[in-house]
Formats: sequence, structure tokens, C-alpha cells
Amino acid sequence: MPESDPQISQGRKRWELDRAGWDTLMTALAPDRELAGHKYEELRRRLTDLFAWEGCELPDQLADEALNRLARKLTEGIAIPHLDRYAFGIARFLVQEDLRARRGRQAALRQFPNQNAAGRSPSMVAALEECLAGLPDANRRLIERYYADDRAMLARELGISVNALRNRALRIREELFECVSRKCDDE
Amino acid sequence: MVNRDPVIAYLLHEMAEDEREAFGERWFVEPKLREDLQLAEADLLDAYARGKVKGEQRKQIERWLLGSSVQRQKLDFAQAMATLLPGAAPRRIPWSLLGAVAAGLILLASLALSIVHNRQLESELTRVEAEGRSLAPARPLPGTAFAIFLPADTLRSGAGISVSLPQGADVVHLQLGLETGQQRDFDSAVVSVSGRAVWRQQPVSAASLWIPAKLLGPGNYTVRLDSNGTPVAYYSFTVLR
Repeated sequence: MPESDPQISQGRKRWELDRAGWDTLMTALAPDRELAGHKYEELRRRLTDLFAWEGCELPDQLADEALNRLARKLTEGIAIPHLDRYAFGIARFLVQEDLRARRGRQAALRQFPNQNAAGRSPSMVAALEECLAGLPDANRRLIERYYADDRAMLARELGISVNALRNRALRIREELFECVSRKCDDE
Repeated sequence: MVNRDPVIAYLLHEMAEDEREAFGERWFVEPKLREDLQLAEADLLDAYARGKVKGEQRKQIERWLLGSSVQRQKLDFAQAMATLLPGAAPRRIPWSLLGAVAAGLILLASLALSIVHNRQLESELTRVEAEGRSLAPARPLPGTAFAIFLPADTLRSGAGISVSLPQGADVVHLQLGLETGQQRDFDSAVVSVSGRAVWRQQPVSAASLWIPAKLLGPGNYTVRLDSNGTPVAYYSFTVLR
């Protein structure tokens, strides 16, 4: 199991991911570089979700830190048969470190409703409008009806289970989210 | 929404710590379970954005699912979805009530039509009198118009307004509510259904739009007002079958 990073906890210079570390990590993920890239992105998304669902305030930064630590262990020559599980172990330590760090300031930062009251941004609605328009007709009609119609009736009409309908709608929703995120990042 | 579901319980931190850690390790290596979590998260945020979550669960969502910028971006997206794809009005309406509502709407539409016609005639008369010349060939007034008022506050909340257009309606008049102090004239307006534009008008004076009724089939519509090339306001309404 991975250990907490002594360099960070003792306040010394943190280990940075260099070219060799990156190559080692990519090779460990997959021999093919393109496949390794996909796996890296997928693992990073999983880590980001994990930190986000643990209530961490900077999930994407923590995901990068977890991947850095994983690369570091690999460059040190540690044999890691199950990268996923090892990454999860590193992430658990990071969650604990993050929890300790934010405990003191938690009360003040938990005043979330004020941030929520800011509401939706016009640019995101505009981006979503474009992304919806770019969907194939069948998918656009399905996501529209998923929110507007009775779902049991819609599922019957399509000859699928409500659960299958939900899965299908989520995939379209996810596609829209990625499209909107790309557009908002480009702004 | 049932919190007994372990997926929801995980997302809202309603599990014992050891159980939570075991569940976390499971989903981290099982793609299907992760997909279930993403589904549940999307449902929770959609429900939250549409004001369908109340009380303790709402607080739990705010505490555990909205604490980072990554998560707030997901909520922004859910809110944008609620704006462009609002839910329809509840379908189980007693027919007698539906009949009364329809009659009321027709009455209101007739009243609005009369007022609109009167105003148009008054304004035309004033213009002609002022110019001191005979009436030029005027733009033909629509045969049968149906008026819809879209208030600024309620529609932006995603609550939506649902209408049934009468069969004989030729033209729909959309009067857009404005916030106090907001400008009344805009460069353009775009009416879309599921992101597909069905009508554009430019310029837009007094936040008033006239749309051929035949363009408005059943669906969830969005009206976007633009000023200086930037969207400045959104409204939504649903045309029922």
C-alpha cells in the first residue's frame, strides 16, 4: 500500500513529475502510447470524481498530485501489479491529508449557498444551445423528451426499459457536458 | 428519491466510514458501478437545479456535491439544461380543470388580442394624423393571434410555462417580461426548440415578438434576447400537444 508523502508532510520541496517519470507512468499504463494516453485521462477523471465526491475543494489538483505520486513510486522501481488499486490507495491518503488541511477553515468555506445563488451563466446556456443543435436529430429528440415526457411511457414507446432509457439519456447528457466544457474552456 | 440506495448514500455521505471506503474502492475499479454513480449524480443535480429537492437532501447535496469548482460546473450545466430543456407540466390534470384553463386562456388571448389590436389601431391613427396624409397600405394584421406573457423571474428559474395553442391560431405574440431598469429594445431574438432555431427577429422593440403559430409544434422552447452580439436574457415555455 502507498504511504503518505514525507516530503510534503515535512514541508520540503515536493517531487515534480519530469519527462522520465512521465514516460515510466505511460509505459506502466499501456505499451502503446496512444492507449496509455487514454488510460491516463480515464484514470485522472476517476481520481477527480473520487476527490470531488469526498468533498475536496480542489479535486483536479489532487488528481494530478495522485498521478505524480504514482509516477514517483514507479520511477523508484516499485513493482505495482494493479495500478488502479494503488492509485486508489494514494488517493485515500491524499483525502486524509486534504481533510486535515481544510478542517480549520471548513466552517467558513461551507457557506456554499451564496455561491450557488449566482445562478447559471449565460455563456454556458449559449454553449449548450450550440451543442444541442449539433446533436444528431434522434439524440436531440430523445434528450428533449427524456426531460419533458413521462419516462415510463417514453421507454414503452421506444421498446426499452426505463433503466436503459436512463442510461441512453445520460450518455447524451455526458456528451453535451463535454461539448459545453470544451466550448467554455475555449472562451 | 430513496437514500437507501447505496449509490445515493455514497454520494451524500450517508454510509459508515468503513463501508464508504470499501464502496469507494469498488467503484474505482468497476466501470459499471462508476457509471451508476455518475447517473445518480446527474439525477441529483438535475433535481436540485429544477428545485425538486427539498429539506435535508438539498442540504446534503450542497454540502457534499457542490463544494468544489469542478462540482459547481456540473451544477451550472444542470441549470443550463433546466433552462433549455425544462420539464413539462404535470400530465395528470383533471379534464374539467383542463377545460376551464383552456377556456380561460382563450378568453385571455381574446382580451389580449383586442388590446393589441386597439393599440395598433390607435398608434396607426396617431401616426396618420401626425403625418397629415391618407393611410398607406398597412401591414396586414394577423388573422387570429394568441398572446403569451413570459415573466422574467419565473421562467429563468426553470419552472417554465406550458401552453396549448388553439387550433385556429395564426400568430403567437410573445411578450417578454423585463426586470426593473432593464433595456426594452434588443438587437435580435432567437426562438429555439432543443437548440434548433425556428424563428429569428431583429430588431426587437419593447421585448415583443410575433411568430407564425405553425412554427411552434409541441416541445420546449427557449427565447434568447441578444444585445451587442451577446445573450442578455433567456426565457422558456412549453407548447403542449
